[in-house]
Amino acid sequence: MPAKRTFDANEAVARVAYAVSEICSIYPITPSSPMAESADVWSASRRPNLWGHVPDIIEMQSEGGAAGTAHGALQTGALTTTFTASQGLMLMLPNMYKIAGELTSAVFHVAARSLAAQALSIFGDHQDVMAARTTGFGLLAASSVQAAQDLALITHAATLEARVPFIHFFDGFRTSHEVAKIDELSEDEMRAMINNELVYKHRQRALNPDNPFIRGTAQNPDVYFQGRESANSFYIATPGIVQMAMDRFAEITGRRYKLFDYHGDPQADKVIILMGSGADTVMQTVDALPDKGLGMINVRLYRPFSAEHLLAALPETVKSVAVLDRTKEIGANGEPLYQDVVTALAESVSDGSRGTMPRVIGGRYGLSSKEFTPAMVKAIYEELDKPKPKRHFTIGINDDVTHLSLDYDESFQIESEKSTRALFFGLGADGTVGANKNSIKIIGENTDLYCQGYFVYDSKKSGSRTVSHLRFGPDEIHAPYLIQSANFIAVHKFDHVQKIEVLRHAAEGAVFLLNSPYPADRVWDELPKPVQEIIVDRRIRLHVIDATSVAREAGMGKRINTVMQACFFALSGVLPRDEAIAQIKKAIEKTYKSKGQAVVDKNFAAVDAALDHLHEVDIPRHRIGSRPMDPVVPENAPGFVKEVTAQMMRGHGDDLPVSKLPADGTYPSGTTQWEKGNVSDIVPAWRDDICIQCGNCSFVCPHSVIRAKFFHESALESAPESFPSAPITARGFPETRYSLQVYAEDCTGCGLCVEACPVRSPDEEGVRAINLTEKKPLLEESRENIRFFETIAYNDRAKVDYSSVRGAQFLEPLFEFSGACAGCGETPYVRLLSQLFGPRLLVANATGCSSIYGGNLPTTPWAKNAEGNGPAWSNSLFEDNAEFGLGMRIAADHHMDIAKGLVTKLAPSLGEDFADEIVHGRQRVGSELRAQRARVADLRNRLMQMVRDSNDQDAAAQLSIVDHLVRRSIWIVGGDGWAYDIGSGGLDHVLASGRNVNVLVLDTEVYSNTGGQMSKATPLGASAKFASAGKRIGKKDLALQAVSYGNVYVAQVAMGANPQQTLLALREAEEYSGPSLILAYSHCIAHGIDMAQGLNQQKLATAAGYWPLIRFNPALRDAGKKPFVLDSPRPSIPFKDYAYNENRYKILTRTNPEEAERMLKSAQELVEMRWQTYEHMAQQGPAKFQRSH
Amino acid sequence: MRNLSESDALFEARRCLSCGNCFECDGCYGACPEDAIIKLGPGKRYKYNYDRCTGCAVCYEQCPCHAIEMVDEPLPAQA
Repeated sequence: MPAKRTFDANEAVARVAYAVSEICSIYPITPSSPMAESADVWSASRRPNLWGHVPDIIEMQSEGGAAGTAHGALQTGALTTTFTASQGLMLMLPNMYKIAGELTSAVFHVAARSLAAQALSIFGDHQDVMAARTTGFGLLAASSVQAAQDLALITHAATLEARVPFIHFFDGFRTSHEVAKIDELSEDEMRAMINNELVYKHRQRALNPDNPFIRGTAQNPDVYFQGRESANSFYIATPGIVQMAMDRFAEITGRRYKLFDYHGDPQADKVIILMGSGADTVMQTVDALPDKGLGMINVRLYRPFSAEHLLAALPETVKSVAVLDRTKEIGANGEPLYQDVVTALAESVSDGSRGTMPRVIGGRYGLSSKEFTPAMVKAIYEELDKPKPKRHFTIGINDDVTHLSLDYDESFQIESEKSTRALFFGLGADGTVGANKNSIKIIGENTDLYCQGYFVYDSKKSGSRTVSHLRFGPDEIHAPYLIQSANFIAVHKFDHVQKIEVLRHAAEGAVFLLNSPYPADRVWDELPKPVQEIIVDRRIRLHVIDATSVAREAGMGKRINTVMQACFFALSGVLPRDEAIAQIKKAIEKTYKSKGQAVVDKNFAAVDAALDHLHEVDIPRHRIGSRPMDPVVPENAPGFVKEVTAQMMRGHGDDLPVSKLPADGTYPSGTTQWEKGNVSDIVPAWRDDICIQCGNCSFVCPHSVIRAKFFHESALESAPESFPSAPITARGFPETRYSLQVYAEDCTGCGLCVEACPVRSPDEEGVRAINLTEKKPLLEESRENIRFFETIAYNDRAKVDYSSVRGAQFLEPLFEFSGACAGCGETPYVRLLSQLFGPRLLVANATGCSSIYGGNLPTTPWAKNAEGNGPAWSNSLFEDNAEFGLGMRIAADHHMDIAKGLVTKLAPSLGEDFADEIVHGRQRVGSELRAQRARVADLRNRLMQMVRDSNDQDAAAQLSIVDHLVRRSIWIVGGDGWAYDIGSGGLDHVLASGRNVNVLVLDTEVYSNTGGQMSKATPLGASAKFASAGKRIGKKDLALQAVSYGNVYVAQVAMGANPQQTLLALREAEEYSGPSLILAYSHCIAHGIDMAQGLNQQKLATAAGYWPLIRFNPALRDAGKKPFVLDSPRPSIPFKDYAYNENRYKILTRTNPEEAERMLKSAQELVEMRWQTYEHMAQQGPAKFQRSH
Repeated sequence: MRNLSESDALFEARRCLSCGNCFECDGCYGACPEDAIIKLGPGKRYKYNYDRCTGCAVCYEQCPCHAIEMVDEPLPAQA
């Protein structure tokens, strides 16, 4: 019997790839990153491959780099692999043509994912691998976790013999992240599949000065064509070689695969052909449907495409075929697999080798992990029965525009009655997903039951909703789709029951476990009517527990996962109750033993208390209340928000028809304001009596929930009684009041504002001018106060002092309520940007955290002001952001020049003075910009008049670009992964261009968005993913690189260390007429810190001299002053006092204390050296800094 | 010039910027990034911790009534 293990496909595949490789060149990209992370961890722990050597893992600056390195390593004879997806695979394409063209044995493992088109999506489909199908790489598709592990090995074995390189792929998330119990491949089995003779031959083909030759020539028209054809025989032989590898694998393991796996009635008349995880769904549906004559083909080897093997697999009896593609090739006469099948059949019929041509239709399904269910499969078979089926259909959506979609009966489902199907609704980071993964391990590894886990997350980084889908049963589970009928449903946060339809998929008689602050005898009346109705109709058994209290009393804080997990085991019946509890305790002991017996005991107590506090609710079947579900958005929300956005927020985005979605990906600005997340139970409350109105709290707020305004005291006449305000503390403003409002429902409760408040109450210990307090009692009052606060206009930008933190608080934030983590270190900078320059701001945003919290649907945070002006934002890609922003600058300059020329030309009719003011008026400070905006508005009116009166063509041309006469502020925003690594070349070029662009680097010193992988900004001594043994090279000094150009404004800032310097740097950068670069220290959850201490860590980073605050201003040099300014004092604390508050540095002291000590010493030296360099530069006069222009 | 009414006079008085006179608005205290300003209690205004002061001049620039001056750092011998 082979060993059974619970894996997700990423881990299962990485295990094989690692064992049979010598080199992995890697780069992080969702959803493939975990493969590379596993390889890095194993390499760091010196785990050997099959030959007893530890593979070398090298992280590159981009997937382009990873592919280049792989190419070099392959050409030098090493067994080399890489892991990627989506845009990453796109960047590898050029090298893939080379690797294939040179007939190089290699395997790239791909967790197949959507491509960015009208929008980015991290979810699964085959668009990426289909774009690579022309490279010459073979394509092997796995349809399940088991198959992904097995085909990984088969692919590595086959490529060595075929010399054709391969992509081995499986569906992103659906397979890559599905946890399943599979037969694990042993090392002996792997060894038996890999032929060492072929490995030696691979090495012999390598570049070698002892036997030199040249490969990679340039060729001419005389031979290139023939050269391309010379590889044909290898591709002709490949399908046979792959099948032989599959057969050998079957002999070794007993698991049999074919190039085209047929399943169903041998006399089938209707057949569906597809590849990837959807194949398992079709297979199960064929078995479950009572109809005869159904069959399906699971395509394993897609390239090279073997028509011979396909036709052999397709029964002669078949009359109609549906070919499903999980991709979109817009403009083509059908998707790729469809086209291949049609061609194969047409050729065989025209050859006479097949009698008749079956009718073939093609369909698209499952883009971006869209669900693909048995109900849809049934509908496709039914379509094949129709006299005129849709030739090019879609399934799973409602296309009400081109009417291509098929209808299907949603109620059809084939869940096994023998299985437990459990749904868990949790809150991001509440431990629900972790506990469920743990439950799967407990059950999978201690019983004979099969299990499957799949986890659905929304895009919010704070307060996100997670839904875990767990299946357990006595039979193998082939159900790669979400649970259609759940017999156990747990809701870990009570609010969910009032907002989303948690019981939508509840089976008759299901068990419903609810974490409820209300006891069993009172909870009924708190449930909305639709929930009560389902409970009664489907005879659902409701159990409640106040897990939040139980966890708190057991000393577990907010972590309710252990409590809820115990209840799941007690109620679900997967295991006998006593056995289940014993198993949980065993798991707890294993997990927490290293943290001491006290922690173990605490968890044990939580388990026992959970069972004591779990109560079944006696359902009053005839007492249905009238409470409706909570509205998702308020009544006054705009139409699009109500019709479209709210549907997504409610979890009904799947039901939106095609007609509701913008065809070109254009969405309205500022929709986060309609999504009252209510993430936190504690929020800040303002003390108007002791506040000094300094503005520090709103300055640091990551979610723009703290707003300040000053206004004439007469405005208070209509104010609600509880509306707080105080006389303004500034001098010279009689009869003026100041008010600070906390948008409580949008607050994440991070507490940065409290930490930033300089006030200490003289009378009350520990009280500041802003303090965290329980939200519930304040909520109604807060809503009323905000309603009133919003009736007061924001202060006129021309009357606000931009130059101080105190003044900046009165600028309206046009970036608000984003989905960033609570206490995010990036968003305060982004918010400030929107305050300072928002009404004329264009943002080019690199892919990363900032593009996700900045632009991930359903709601987006970039907003506009009452006049309708605000930041225009776009995200192109990860790697091209600087270039994207430069393009914006060039277009803006070009149109401004044309507009000025036209104004000059029209000067006689506009008035010479007016024209002169528009063309030459200063636009530096707020009041000047306000004046220009007024002039341009005036100009627009006059131009419209001219067009109306005389159809003036110059005026018409001018109208199309008149907006450009207000100077635009162009900001290129991204993280360190972009600026230091993947976009480094482009950033360098853009800085060297001399054009007036501003670059803001939100430097978290890791790839935050993909889960914390090392970048070239990661400091020496810190651990990160891909640097699990600690980074051994110091951080790149990007500031000095930019300074070396001479004409780039460069600043290094840390808001927590000196907010005033941050403000100054942003304003100077914007004012400087050349390129500017600002490096902003951004604390991050990836640092392993208490996020409330994020600003303090920034302060310490500067105090230690690790993050010196600098400004290099070429304008100062030109004015004969010292251009390099050091804004922070000499280091006053050792590096350790800053670093060892952070787990990223601390972790090494536990895993490798000696190395940690050595690295700490080096890091300290590096800090001192760098400080000396900066101090030296700060002392130099202007003559020491060369102009480069 | 016409005479001011009592309410006008009060209003005008509040428009006064208190040039050169500190009225303890705490603006400097809230603005100092280095915690170099020490509050001495109501009516007693502030003193500076020159060991912490970096000379960044934020306090000076934000002071609404020009009650703060930037001066040269005393030489060690004089300090």
